[in-house]
Amino acid sequence: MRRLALAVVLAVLAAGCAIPHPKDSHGVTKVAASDTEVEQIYDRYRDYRKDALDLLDEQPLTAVESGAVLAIDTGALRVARRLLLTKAPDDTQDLQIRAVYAPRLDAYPLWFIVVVEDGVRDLTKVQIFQRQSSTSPWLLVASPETLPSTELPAFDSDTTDALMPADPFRQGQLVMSPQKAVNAYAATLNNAAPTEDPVVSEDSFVTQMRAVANKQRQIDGVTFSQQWTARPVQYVIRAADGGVLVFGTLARVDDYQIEEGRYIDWPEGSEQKAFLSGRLYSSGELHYYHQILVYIPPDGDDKPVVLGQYGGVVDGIGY
Amino acid sequence: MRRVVGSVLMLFAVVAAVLGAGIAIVLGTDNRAETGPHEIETSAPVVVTSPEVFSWAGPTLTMRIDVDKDQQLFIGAANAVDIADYVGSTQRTEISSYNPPWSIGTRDVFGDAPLPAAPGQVDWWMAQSTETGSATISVKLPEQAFSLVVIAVGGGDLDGLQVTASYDIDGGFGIGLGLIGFAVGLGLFGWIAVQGRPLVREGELIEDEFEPDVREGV
Repeated sequence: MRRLALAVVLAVLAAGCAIPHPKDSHGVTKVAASDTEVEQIYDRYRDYRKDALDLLDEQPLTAVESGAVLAIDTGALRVARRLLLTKAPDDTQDLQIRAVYAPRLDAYPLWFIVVVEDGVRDLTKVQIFQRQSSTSPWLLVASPETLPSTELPAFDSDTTDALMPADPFRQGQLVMSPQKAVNAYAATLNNAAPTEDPVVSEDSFVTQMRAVANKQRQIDGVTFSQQWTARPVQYVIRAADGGVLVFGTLARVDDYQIEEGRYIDWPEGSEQKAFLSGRLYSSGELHYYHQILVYIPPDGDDKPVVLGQYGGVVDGIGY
Repeated sequence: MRRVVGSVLMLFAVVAAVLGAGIAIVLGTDNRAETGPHEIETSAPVVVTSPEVFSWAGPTLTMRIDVDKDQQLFIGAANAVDIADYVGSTQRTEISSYNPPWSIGTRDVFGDAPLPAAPGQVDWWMAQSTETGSATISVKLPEQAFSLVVIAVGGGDLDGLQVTASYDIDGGFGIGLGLIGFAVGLGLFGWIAVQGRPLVREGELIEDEFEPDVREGV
């Protein structure tokens, strides 16, 4: 009799898998995209990007990119068209997805992170694709690049392996809020030389940007100035160690004031030549975007540090 | 103590038997429970369910919608986040609650914008159907938040909309019978316990029944 009862109980439990049950406890949310969907979205991106590189025309990119990253790529293509005077276009691309991370969100816009290995440039791209509304396409909105040797922090995730986004304006247990960290980078870069007690790391990004600016200051007969401003932060994800990873954008304006009676003849193929065509007699202004990937450690002695960046000239005016 | 446990087991057995019989009778041998047709009063071009309406996962829902025979209509099922964004600014009737067999709460939401795209142009439907006069879809209720939407395609409204819904539960009839069998076994155990008779194993010595073999001396 006991064996019979056990058999009945097991049969009922086995059948119970098909019994209606309450839904998961994640409320009205959606994981932005599955791995399969990301593959399809990225295949589409590769196709349009290849067309843009083939034609050296930004038009195909407008179907798959948006915001600062579209502006940077458009600027790069414009410079490349200038370079075409001496070189044939190179449309080679080798972009391989290495990891996909998607958060669980309760409303549009939806977004996800994809870590991509760029075999041509030997870099790792940490990209964000965003869908603004339920009827709009997925567009690349951020694409900071890191060296292959750079290790990203482990991301925090919920019980369903969904990324945990964080509030850009909330400091919580961090050394500073994400928006404040990006603002601090803009303030640091507005100083031509290192300060005594910087609030962010004097990392390779800061060093490199200062070196570029100092080189421009050395042009004879030109007064050069540079201004950095931070754009509002949208994407922040939690790291497993309690820190966060921030996708920030910095806007940079390079201003050239030329002494009367002098002029600048930019080198052929340079971004200045592409955007400030011809000779510059009076003044010129170049606008840049830099997308940066900043790691903010949990509260302690460590400072925020830039792990990667992607930037370039987006506009210019001169006469 | 044994009699109390036995009584509780028998009570559970009765509950399990009633539940099992109920499941088996409601679902029948085709494992399906159906309700409708039911009319939903609306003059809007869109009817949508709130995520709370489908708070359970597992069964397969089949829904048939009937409207005016010349009206083209679309039925779609998708994650509630997608549908909320899609119909966000459009005039609609929302089904805000549902209790079986058929009791619903509705509310009218006003909006002046058309849908941002034709329903056939979006890529996140789990199930969809476009027909004229009558359309049917089947979808397994997922773990994620979920909504259904009915849209009057090409203008017009959903006046006179009628819903016929059925739930399919794989092996549901067998589950009902299994519960009845389980109840019988449980009840038997309870009855034995209530009787207060000890369980005797073969070859076991029972102290009460042992009497020494005493003989009187001559």
